[in-house]
Amino acid sequence: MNHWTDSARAKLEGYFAEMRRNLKASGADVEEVVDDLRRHVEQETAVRNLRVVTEQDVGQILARIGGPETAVAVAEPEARVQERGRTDGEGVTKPPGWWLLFFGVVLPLGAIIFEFLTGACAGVLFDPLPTVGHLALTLFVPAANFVVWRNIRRGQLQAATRLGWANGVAIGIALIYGLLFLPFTPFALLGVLVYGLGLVPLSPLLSLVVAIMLRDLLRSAVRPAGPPPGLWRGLGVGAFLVCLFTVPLVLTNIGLQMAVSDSFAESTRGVKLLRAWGEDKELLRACYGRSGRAGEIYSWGRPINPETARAVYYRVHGRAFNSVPPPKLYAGRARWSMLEQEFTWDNDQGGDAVAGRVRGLSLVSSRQDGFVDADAALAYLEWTLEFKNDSPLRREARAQIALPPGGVVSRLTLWINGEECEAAFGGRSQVKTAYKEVVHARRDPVLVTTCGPDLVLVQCFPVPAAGGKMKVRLGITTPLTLTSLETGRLRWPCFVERNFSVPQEFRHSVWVETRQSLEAAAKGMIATQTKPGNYQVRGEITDTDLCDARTSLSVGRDPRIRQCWTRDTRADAEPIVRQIMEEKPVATPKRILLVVDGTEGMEACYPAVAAALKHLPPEADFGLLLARDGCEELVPLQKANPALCKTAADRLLKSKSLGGHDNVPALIRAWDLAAESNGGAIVWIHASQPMLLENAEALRQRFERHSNPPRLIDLQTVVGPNRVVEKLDGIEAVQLMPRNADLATDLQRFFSSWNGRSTKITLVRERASAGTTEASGRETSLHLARLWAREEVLRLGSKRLNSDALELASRYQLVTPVSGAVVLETKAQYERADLKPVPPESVPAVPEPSVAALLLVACALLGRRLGRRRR
Amino acid sequence: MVNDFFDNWTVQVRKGLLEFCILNALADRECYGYELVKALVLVPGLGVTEGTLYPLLSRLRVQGLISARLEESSEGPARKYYALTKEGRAIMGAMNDYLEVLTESTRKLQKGVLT
Repeated sequence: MNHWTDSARAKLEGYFAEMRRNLKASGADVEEVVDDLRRHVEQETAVRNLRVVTEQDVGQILARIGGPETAVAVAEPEARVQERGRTDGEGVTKPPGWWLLFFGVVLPLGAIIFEFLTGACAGVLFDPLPTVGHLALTLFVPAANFVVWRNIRRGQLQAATRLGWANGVAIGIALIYGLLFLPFTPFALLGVLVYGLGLVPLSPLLSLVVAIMLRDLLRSAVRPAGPPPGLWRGLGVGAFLVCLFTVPLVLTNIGLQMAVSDSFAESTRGVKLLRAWGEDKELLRACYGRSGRAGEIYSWGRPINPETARAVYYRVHGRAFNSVPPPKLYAGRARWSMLEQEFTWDNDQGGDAVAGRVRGLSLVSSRQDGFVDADAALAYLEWTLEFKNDSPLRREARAQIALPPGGVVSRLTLWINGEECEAAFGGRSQVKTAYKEVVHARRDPVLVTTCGPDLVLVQCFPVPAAGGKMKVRLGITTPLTLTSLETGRLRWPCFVERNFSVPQEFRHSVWVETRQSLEAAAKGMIATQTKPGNYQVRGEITDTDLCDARTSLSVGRDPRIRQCWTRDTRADAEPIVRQIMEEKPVATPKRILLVVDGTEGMEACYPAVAAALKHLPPEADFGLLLARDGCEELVPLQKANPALCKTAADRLLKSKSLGGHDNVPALIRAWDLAAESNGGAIVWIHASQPMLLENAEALRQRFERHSNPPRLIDLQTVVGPNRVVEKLDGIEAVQLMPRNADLATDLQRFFSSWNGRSTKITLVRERASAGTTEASGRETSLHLARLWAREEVLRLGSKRLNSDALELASRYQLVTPVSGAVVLETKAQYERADLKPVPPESVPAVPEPSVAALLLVACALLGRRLGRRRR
Repeated sequence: MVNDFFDNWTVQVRKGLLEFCILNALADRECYGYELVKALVLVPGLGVTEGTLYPLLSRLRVQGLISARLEESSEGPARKYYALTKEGRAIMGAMNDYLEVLTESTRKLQKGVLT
């Protein structure tokens, strides 16, 4: 390629202008001659190897060619040409007009930019630019039109083949878009005629017309060489590319329809299709109750129920739909994105599930304050949470929170107009009804109820719109997990599932004090001794670390203290609650069924599980089930031995995990096998179970009806909801495996504890009469009484003594399976719900006031009241 | 005066022969424009320039005596290849026959042989 100076170019064009005038009546095709001469000149410059073509060079070449007037020498009189006529029907190529540039380039380009910036069409009709590929293809149309238009106008047709192809592809793309917009064309035409508006929807069709006209002009311009190539093939390529980028959307909708089929085989094929070709965002939109507008075109009017779509999403990806940020439901951008905010309702508001993420709702501050009494193996934590809502609608913040094992919510506070308001504790349905009524009235309530073992659901409404905030506090009383008599561990309460976002850079601020030495394993936390006998751990911790068992707090304790007690101010008789630490032998199960989840992501856990298998007790029967598309028996039940354990490990390591799987069939199979002999145990190692694909009632029935059911030891490898265990709430045989370290270590320790020689420390809490216990133990706080009350409530609940259980839970202000806590805004609301907020002096605090201090406060309040009466 | 007469006469002859030469140049094979023009420019006595030949080629194509096709070239700009059409070949044959007869007769005339 050589470079032409402007003057050289001008000289050549001047020559051609003269040539055009001279050849008008020559009988030759003027533009063809100009093209031929241009090509000839370029060939000359190439032969002369000119890198820069100057005016002088052009002058020399043109001198050789001969002046424009020489052509006249061979010109045929126009009369003769006319006399002979144009038998081939071709005329001299006219340069394309400026109107073609406007309708073929400026208008479509403007329409694309407008749509990209505003998403106007996406907001009200359908999304014409659902992917970057679609955007690139639509931009290609005005680009190709412009290049063809310019080259014809300049007569630069050397690359006619490429121009022909570009034009063909542009026609193909414009044709598809023209067809998509065809139904709206009459309205657009009407708009143009009546209001002078509507050119944007017409732009695909207009650019198609222009592309076809440019094709004709191009054909005329290169006529001597025959029609330019690439019309039909280019058209095919353009149309194919549009379809190619649209295929995932179409396949997603086909896959979704198949996946929700009643036929298992069809449904499985649908899930496989979605795994291979599904458009993730489209699937996610279906989980929020509507497909994207673009997708609606391809769903053939058969909407999918959001709940069903959520189950499909889990089966496809192996994770909950609400574990990722919500998709844009409308494709509107800029001002049109108001549609997104104004009309995206939270359909689960006031419901019983965390459900989908709510756009604009986020956690802005979180602090955990607490104290640990390691000698009494208990702790009290207060978790203060503040939510912010940037959306234009008032929102409900919902979260499922995992409490430390054995923990219970013993305090709930809501800030209303800057003042702390304590909760009322009442029956589960009573507090829920009160909450829902107030949510309906759009006032300020907060509700906490249990939703599974060591799980609570927190609901706060309303987080005010447009940047408004809402602040709540949960008080949690919890026992420590004793790994030995010398050490207790405290796991942090954490979010299992939430409908608000937690920014990646967000940190929870924690501050825990104790009289015993402690260690903090989490990054960003420091443990210090502030003065003799007073230790603290504080720092900032990420949301991920908060959920990690390895970051739990380790506190040293005096192993000689095996008994402690507290004076229970809420009890009329037997005012002492004592706790005795007993070492009991660990019962070795005779039959062990290992159920391993085949859900995506579990593959990374298989090596840890496989490594732990060699620690299984050799005397027991052992079977290995894989919960994948039903139940796969990797190792049938038989006597465990090292060879069998190795075989099981090998088979497990060879297994692949893909998508999400229903674990209930495998658990039922494991239960049936384990229940064949007494003392069976099922160890269930699994990922999060956000969807209950099959009813768990059959499993619950087995546990409820069997007099001595096998134990189900639940080990969840990642934080997240577990709908199966939620359904098994209150079943004593269901136990959570204690987590203190990484998966391999915890599993090995657990399996090793079945060696027949191991013991475990059990905390036995009971009531006692005054004077019998004090001397033989250490006094501790009222939290011991709360922990006793929690156990008692569960015991009464299992005996179906619900009213007794509720009375006890309300008296001790606890959130249990029979009771909940709610904060309402006004006294009238409490009266209407027949609830009474707890007096502020009765709630726990950090640090927990001693009984003496409480008596002093009570005396002071009494004195003040008496003084007022006298005045 | 004599020179002017001769110049006019040669212009007329050349003008008449240009199309004949082009058609004959394409008799055996197709040629691209630049190559064809360069070859014809070198024909002694034809005294033709590139500027003259391209309009002629265009006119012959319009008349359907030759065809043209464009082909991309790695060595420079795209090349336009010209070839005789069936009609062009027939005309060329007739022209050749005619010129042969005319030349023969002219020679006879020069030798003083009158028919």
